[in-house]
Amino acid sequence: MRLLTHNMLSCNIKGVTKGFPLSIEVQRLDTKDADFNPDFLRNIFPKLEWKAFHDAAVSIGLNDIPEQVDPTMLEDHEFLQKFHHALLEVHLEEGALICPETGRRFPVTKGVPNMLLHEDEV
Amino acid sequence: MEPPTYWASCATGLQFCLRAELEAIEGTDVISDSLAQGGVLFRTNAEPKELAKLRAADNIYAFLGHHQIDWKSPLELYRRWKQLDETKNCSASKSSSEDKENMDASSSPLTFRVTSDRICKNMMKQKYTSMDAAAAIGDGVNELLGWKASMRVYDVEVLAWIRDMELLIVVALIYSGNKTIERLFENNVAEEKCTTENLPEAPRLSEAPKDTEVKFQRPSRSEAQLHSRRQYRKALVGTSLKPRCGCGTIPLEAVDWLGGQIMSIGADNNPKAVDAAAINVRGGGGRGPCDVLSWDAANLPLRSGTIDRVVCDMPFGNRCGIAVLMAQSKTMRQEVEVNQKPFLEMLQHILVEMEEFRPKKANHKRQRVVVKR
Repeated sequence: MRLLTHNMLSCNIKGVTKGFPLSIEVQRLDTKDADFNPDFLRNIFPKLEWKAFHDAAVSIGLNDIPEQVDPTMLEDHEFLQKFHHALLEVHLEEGALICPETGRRFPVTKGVPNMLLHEDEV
Repeated sequence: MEPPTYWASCATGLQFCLRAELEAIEGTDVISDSLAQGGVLFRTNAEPKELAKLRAADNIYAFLGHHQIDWKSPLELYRRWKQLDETKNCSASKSSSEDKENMDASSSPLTFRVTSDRICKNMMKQKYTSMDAAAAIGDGVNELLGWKASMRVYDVEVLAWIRDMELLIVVALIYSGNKTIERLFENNVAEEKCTTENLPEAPRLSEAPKDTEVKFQRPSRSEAQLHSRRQYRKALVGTSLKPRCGCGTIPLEAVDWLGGQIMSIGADNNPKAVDAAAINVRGGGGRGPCDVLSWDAANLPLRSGTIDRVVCDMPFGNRCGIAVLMAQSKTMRQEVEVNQKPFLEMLQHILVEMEEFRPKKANHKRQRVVVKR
């Protein structure tokens, strides 16, 4: 699971209002190369919750993502490379995603988060 | 020399898509796209490598015959394709002529099976079943070529299409038997093949074996779905979602097609499907990023405003064709209302903004939908 996906996920247990962002519990990470596409990064940037992305990056050990970004940085190649790496190339293979409100753990195994709810949570 | 004749298969009714793709290949002549259900007959001098890239085709066959049967040229074609596979395996130090000699000398009688499909469109049901036809053809092959019939583990697959009084026979080239000529057509992803522990190997580009529960979508169908979007889309850059992705055919075909322009997300609530999709992503992940999750499509754990496009196919899980519906005296609408409740519920939960979807025909309603939590 990439950080891009993490940025979109939110806990959907019944009654939960602050299910985003999920905190990350890391057991195993993996890094895989991905094609660098600056247009994609520029397009996806407005959709991201940057603070959540920054915090998530820090929690998995990536410290080169700035806390705040202004749009001019999107033209800076070096920044884009770091952005690309953190967004698409680092995978959470084993671990969990944790709901900030309820503490519910959504396990991540072999890179796949299991977001299925139990019957009493729907 | 006359260009060889091929027959490429695709999901029934989607020949238009395959035809368009073929016509784009230089030097290709499409002979017919209505010879049998779900396929296009064509002639081309294009290299196997190029043909293997066809996205709308499920498999490629050497054309054996239509009414008149001549074994020589299809077999030569089969051997030529197979040679490419074998020569790749041999060490680089050998010269190619040496390889050819080695191959010919060692080619023992092959094992084969005949798969037959029989359709009666306009006449009364024929008195024989498709299995009878397969057996009869199999006997003929055995007599003529001395090959041994083997239903499960075989080198060559002969496919026989029968429609009313027409017979089309072809010899499978890519997915022939249990050995796929895959190594010829690597994409640039790591060659490492994924192993499964308890799962049957998830087929990415072929139809699922009939004894598994999970239904796989044939890539020709995904390609046609994506193809129809080409006419309406602007440059698509963003995220693409497949809520019930099965073994991941649609998301993977999408990133394969669009490369790094999109991030594709596929998920399913069936653990077998999710495992299979994950294997597919790891094994042959396509050119762009694709993530797989496990979720309930009726209760998506996504925050608003994150997804650009949703691609979904329906009906899921049920084999449903015209014959089935007719036998049950149902219309497609009735089938959907009765059996596809989950799909309809999901539609209520996801609403997608399709701004540039401008249908040309007047009878299509313009859909306006909004991402809802």
